[in-house]
Amino acid sequence: MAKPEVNMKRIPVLILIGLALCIVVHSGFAAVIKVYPHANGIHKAINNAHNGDTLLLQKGLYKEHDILISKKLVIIGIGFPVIDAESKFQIFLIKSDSVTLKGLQIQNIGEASLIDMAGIKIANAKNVIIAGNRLINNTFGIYIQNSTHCDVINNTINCYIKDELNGGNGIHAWKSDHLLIKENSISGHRDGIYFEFVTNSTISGNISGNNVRYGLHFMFSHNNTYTKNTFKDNGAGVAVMYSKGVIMTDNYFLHNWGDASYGLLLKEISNSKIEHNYFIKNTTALYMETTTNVDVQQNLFEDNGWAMRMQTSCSGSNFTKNNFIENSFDVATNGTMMLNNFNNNYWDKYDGYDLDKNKIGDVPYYPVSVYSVVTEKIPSAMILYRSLLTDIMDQVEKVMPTIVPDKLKDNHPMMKKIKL
Amino acid sequence: MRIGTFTFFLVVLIFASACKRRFEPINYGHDACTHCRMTIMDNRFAAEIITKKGKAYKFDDMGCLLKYMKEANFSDKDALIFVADYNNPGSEFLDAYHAVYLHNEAFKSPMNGDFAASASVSNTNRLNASLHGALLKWPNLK
Repeated sequence: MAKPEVNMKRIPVLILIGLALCIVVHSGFAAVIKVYPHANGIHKAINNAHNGDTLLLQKGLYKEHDILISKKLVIIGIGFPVIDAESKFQIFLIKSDSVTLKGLQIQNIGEASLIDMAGIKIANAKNVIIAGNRLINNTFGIYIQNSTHCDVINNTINCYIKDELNGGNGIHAWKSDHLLIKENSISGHRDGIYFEFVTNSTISGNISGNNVRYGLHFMFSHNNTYTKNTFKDNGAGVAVMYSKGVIMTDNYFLHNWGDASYGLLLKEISNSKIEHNYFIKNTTALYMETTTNVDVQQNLFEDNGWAMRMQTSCSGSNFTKNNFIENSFDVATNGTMMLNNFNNNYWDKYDGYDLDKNKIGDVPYYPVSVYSVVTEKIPSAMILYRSLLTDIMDQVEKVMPTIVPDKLKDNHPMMKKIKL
Repeated sequence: MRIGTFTFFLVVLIFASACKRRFEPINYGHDACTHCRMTIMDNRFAAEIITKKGKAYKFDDMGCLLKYMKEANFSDKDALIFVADYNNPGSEFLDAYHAVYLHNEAFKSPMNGDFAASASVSNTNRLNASLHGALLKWPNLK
């Protein structure tokens, strides 16, 4: 009989807690406001809204610009309402935490020389979510600065205006931390995704193609992970510079053709991992300059002009278990010094033998061909590639190695293609 | 006789093209920066060195040019150095030795060199009205 007594005593407490809960729920009770395409409809709706409200933008054309969001709002488009800046202005400027934008079509952002004009600009905010929007013909698509913990998911960002000089980037992030850039599709911008001073972020499942310069470009951005992205047909491929702790796995670098075009360009990168990536049909699949401690493992290099061009300024890197298939040149370098290790790779040009049948070739493979040394010094010599002359040079070099850097070799080349 | 004339013109042509050192136009979107390897895109910040022998080195940022000169111990006194005119992008490049520079993070140049070059002090003042920076000349840049 002791039980009910205890309960009786606690009833007032329970009521109090209940009341408190009611108050909390009530004050947090978010209104849902429908917005229609009248003049300044969005501006008015935002002015009248309170923290936590949801605005439902109904289908239609909204000719509004410079929309400042300084409240915690959720803005959702029904049937992709179009917000048009008439090639003169910018549209959303988010300066509050916890804002969500979904299902909007944002188009025709203007251009200015000193201001970077963007479809959605996030400044000094956190926990912002930009998901499932369409951004069309904008100078900059999504522009993030001094912000943390923001998610940019499943947006389509296209620019059909070919303006090589004044175009902006699809997703541009500057001085930010803990961003998630996931499953977006970006094309036609200067750089698809651009990071400068961005840390601890994840970029996954994006498709960035047909951009004027780079599909992905980042500088001074440490400890970021790039995984399962596809970079295709970009003017100059992907450039990764002045960063450490870069992890790149399961990405596709496809068909980046051109003189100054690279599948992946690494400059001054340290303590990083490049694993399980696919480099197919690039002029230069992987270009490395001044890198230290970069592990390149289990990647596929297929049908490239150069699978790898490594400057002698690179050191302490390991290249293991990669497949090199059908490349014109496997490795090119600009000197004889080599401070990196090649081991257990599969090279389709390897013609050694395996007497002890341990699936590892008994003689080393030298991946730098004579002609790649020649063309590194005299690029125009390429015109004689695949002529009788180069065949003779190759054969002579095999008998009497003189030109090829002898330290750059794979001591244990695999006899069979490695399963990746 | 005919062959003689032809050879003469050929020789003249070779010499004529060899003596005159001049600015080599930058092919934006295609040419790569000598220092940072990035494709040169921004015509407000590009720069170029023409060496004594006439070889052109192109840069996407004055910062890259200065770093390159430092790292390569570039001591070619007879080199011509050109820099893009920030106020008139796409027009003729300026002589870097005589240009006036503003340095400010707000320019956001491709490699954070953040130098904007102008032809004269009066051109710079207009730009500087909002920035209040110090005016620099070539010897101050390094």
